Amino acid sequence: MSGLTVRRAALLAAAVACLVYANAIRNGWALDDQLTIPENPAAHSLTAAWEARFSPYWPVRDGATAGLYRPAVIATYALDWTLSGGRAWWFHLSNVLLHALATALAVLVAAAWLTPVGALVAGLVFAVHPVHVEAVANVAGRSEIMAAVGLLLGVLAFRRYRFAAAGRARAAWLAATVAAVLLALLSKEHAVAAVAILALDAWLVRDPARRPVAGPLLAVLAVTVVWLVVWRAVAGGWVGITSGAALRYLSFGERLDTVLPVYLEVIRLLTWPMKLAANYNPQLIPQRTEFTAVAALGAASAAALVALGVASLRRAPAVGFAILAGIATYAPTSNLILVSGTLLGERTLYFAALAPAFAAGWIVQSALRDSRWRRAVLLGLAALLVAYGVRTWTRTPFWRDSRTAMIETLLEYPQNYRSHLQFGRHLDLRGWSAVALAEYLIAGALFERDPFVASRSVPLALHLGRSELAVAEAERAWELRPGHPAITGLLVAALQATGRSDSALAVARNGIELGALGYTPAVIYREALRTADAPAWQLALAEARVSWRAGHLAAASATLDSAAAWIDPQADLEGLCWELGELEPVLATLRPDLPDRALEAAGVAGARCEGGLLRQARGLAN
Amino acid sequence: MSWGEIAWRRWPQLLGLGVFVVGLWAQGDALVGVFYDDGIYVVLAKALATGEGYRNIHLPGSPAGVHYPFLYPALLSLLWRLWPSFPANVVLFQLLDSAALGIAAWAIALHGRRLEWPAAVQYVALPAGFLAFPLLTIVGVRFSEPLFLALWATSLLVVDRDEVTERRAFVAGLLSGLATLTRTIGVAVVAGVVVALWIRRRRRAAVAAAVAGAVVMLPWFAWLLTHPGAVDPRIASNYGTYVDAAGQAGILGLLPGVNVGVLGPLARLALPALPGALWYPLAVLLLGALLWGAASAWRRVPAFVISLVFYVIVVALWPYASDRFVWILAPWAALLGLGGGWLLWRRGAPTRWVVAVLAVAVSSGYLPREAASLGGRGFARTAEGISAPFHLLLPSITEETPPGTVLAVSDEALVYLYSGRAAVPSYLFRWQGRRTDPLTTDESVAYYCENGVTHLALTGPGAAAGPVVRELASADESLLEPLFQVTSGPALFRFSCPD
Repeated sequence: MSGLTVRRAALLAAAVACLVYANAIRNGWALDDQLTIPENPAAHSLTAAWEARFSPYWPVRDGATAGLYRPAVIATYALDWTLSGGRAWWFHLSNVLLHALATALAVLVAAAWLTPVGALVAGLVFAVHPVHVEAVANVAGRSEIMAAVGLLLGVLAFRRYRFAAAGRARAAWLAATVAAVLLALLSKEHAVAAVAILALDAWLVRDPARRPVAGPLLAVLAVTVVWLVVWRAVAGGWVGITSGAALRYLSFGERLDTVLPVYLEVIRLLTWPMKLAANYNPQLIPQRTEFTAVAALGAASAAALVALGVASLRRAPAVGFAILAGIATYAPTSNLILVSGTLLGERTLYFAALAPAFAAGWIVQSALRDSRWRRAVLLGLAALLVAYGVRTWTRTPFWRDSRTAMIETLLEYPQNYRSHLQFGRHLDLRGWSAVALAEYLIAGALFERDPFVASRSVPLALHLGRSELAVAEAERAWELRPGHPAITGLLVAALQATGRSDSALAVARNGIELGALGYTPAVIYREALRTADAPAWQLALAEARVSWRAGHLAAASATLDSAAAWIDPQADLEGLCWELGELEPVLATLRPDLPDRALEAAGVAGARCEGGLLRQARGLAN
Repeated sequence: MSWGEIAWRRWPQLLGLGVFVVGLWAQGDALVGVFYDDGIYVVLAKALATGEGYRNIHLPGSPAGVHYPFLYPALLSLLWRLWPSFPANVVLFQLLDSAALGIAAWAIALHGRRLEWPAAVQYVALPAGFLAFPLLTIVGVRFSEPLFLALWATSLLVVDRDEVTERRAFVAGLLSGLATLTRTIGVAVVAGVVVALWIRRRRRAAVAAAVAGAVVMLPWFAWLLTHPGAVDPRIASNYGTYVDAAGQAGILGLLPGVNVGVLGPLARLALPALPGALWYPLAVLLLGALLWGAASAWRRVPAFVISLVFYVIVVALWPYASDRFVWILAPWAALLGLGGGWLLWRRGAPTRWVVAVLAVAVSSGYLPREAASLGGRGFARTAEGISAPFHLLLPSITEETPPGTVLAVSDEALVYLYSGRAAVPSYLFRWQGRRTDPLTTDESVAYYCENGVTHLALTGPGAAAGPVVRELASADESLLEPLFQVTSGPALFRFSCPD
């Protein structure tokens, strides 16, 4: 292809990227879009986005947020909203254009090692790769594209810095490098690998003058450290062990048993992504607690991929760079070291898709030098591009809206418990309660290790008057997470609905015993006492516990005094001892004399409570 | 280029980045304001950020801030404006302090190259100095010392050169002036820079540095002159100017008691706990090594040596200097001590024995102490310990007292920052010579009543204001109504003024 320059190759690949996603413009809001854009006030104006510059990515709902920190993405949503008045097609257009930009940048990065034709092939494969559909055709996937744009811009700017003559140009390119990395970091967490990617590129694309690069890399590292500290402060720490349902409550070893087979799926998605899924929750990828052959194969494949990346660095640096950089960006969500919120997400492979793209570019470039393979390779490439392009085009409407995505997922993967949960929620919000409950029950049956399915099924069962079913669901959840405040509340409510207030009170007490210093178990117990018509002294002690756990020490002190005044000889001594025992830290802190006063008022002066039981003083009758 | 040369070339940046990261690691869970001054810095920053001026907005009447120069609060206020949500924004303050300490490390390492001592001296001394646990305690709370050290070190970097132009001298004067706007004791740095240039017969440069320093300091002195008597004399010990403090103490309180053991905290950090008969000779030897290092550094870095001497003299003279004034010298002390030791070692057999004894002593004193502190994060424990009673007090103060509440409490800035309630110091004292005298209970009550105090909080039975509370409670029950009293812990009272 004479006359093909790198610039033209970049433009051509970008144009194909736009073309293959042309039907994305017809999409609306789907799944995560809803919460992060139409329902997120910060995304509705630039002023609001600026005011939310130190707010978590996920908006606060019911006093809680799922965390993360991606202010650059929110800023672009706000810009889109300002320009379009909140029309979804505009947001999709932005996503497509960003994907085209990322594609063009990928071509420019590849051009350091590949001929313009090779770089063009790399760009084309990257542009049409079906694994990108989730990131491009769903607006919420923008964070992936922006992070990739930032990283690729950073690589290019760092090259310009290294090859620039000393002086202002060099300083300007260094500033551009840092700004690009910052854009990536403020878009998605996996940009934390930026310094490693820049170092790798500097090693592969060497400045002939061999000027040192340690200083600028240290500057990028410093920026990464600053970002990490701010990210942690805003997002509230890394995603917890309890967030990903498939990995919840697993030990490190058990986690590996589940995660290692996922790496096979990652390799499949990068090479033959014809079968796609919106989420990979159990049992689409089964939760495993034993080391299996498939886990061994996953580990071996991952190791082989690393080895291939390292081995390619000299002979095919484009391939080596893309594989190692892809691994570096995938690592934070690989669940190997840290546990992320998802077991596997196709969008997280956006940058990693450079690996097959650059490999294709290198293969075609090599084959073109050898007339024996030229025709076969070109035919193969054409077939691949057509297959990828068609799959991308046909997959894009999947993200038309939440309902389409949900129903399609349910039809494609009925074994995915989370799809049933989501579909049940969808039905519930539309008033189809009975069918919704059925979906929740199916979800629970498909994957029994998620106790929080009960947080949907129990309230709905109670609403429908299916109290015994509610009790059964809540008890199942309690077995998985005994003492969890939310589950305790569900079980207490379910038992009360069946008229078993004694059992409800026992569970609430159990919740207090297991719930350590939590506030919610104290409230649940107080409410259970109220329902059970408990005596005033017992209610007052429960109220004191609630005040104490809320940090209201003045109210706790006053309530304890009231409780002491209301205790009389008719008081249930066993119950009194349990209360005094469970309140021991409060009493020791605020009213250390209250246990003796209480027992005296109950007519057992001189006795004491031990382990919740009454011990009479020597000389007193039992 | 060999690996050794590459390492030496990149050493200042690597040390700076390393110290920055260590500074971040040193941040604990303590509340802002546990060491008193840190809370006032942040209150002043909030006042600036919210457009209320340089005022102590936690005190009733919001008197002007005249105790602390304004550079550090001004920088914090910029961060506050960027992220106006306390305490979430404290992370930005932590980044600023850690970055300042990192810059100080970079500048000290770069400046230290002028000494032409072996790289190993820097490789050992500077990490040891910057990892000294008192320095980690300082960077872990909102103190101005890291910024002050960064400005001091960069001003020396600019001026301690073979050739000093007037322009460079001017920049050094500006930086040392900024150091004075961070901590008043920065005048020692300005004086050091100017005197060093004068001694080097760079008279025009000395004048340029002096003019630059004066220009930078001018707004602060103008502010002080336009706000005379801004602060109630009963709280002048904490909020008044240094002139107010000196006025209370009396000039005789300053001069007779020069603190000859001014560098004692550093010796106590470096040497093992030994009987006095052994410890003091070792301390003298250590001081000797340090002085030897300083004397040999004189020719190459005169501004450093002179400003250091001036600084130590001011700390020795000032009766109320805290140990932290000395802790920030740890990196330089380590550098000069180790450099002096190396120079003495080179002199031959007789001094080698002395150096060997010192090396053993410092290794057996400093290393275990550091290992214990760093291993268990002991450097953060004091601040976290002081925070503990406030974790019990603050929710009650915030949610169980009405919005117009005025509290008398220790660490009043902390209480204001976290609860939004106006607060005054519960323990009132005045300087008296080189010691402090508490105000009487009647004087304290009069102050509380004049300032509209409605509640009184104690952090524990041993709190400084404990005697006042006990006396009030025994004198008239109606004055103090206990709202809660934690066993061996904090307490909150409703306070009523006597009729």
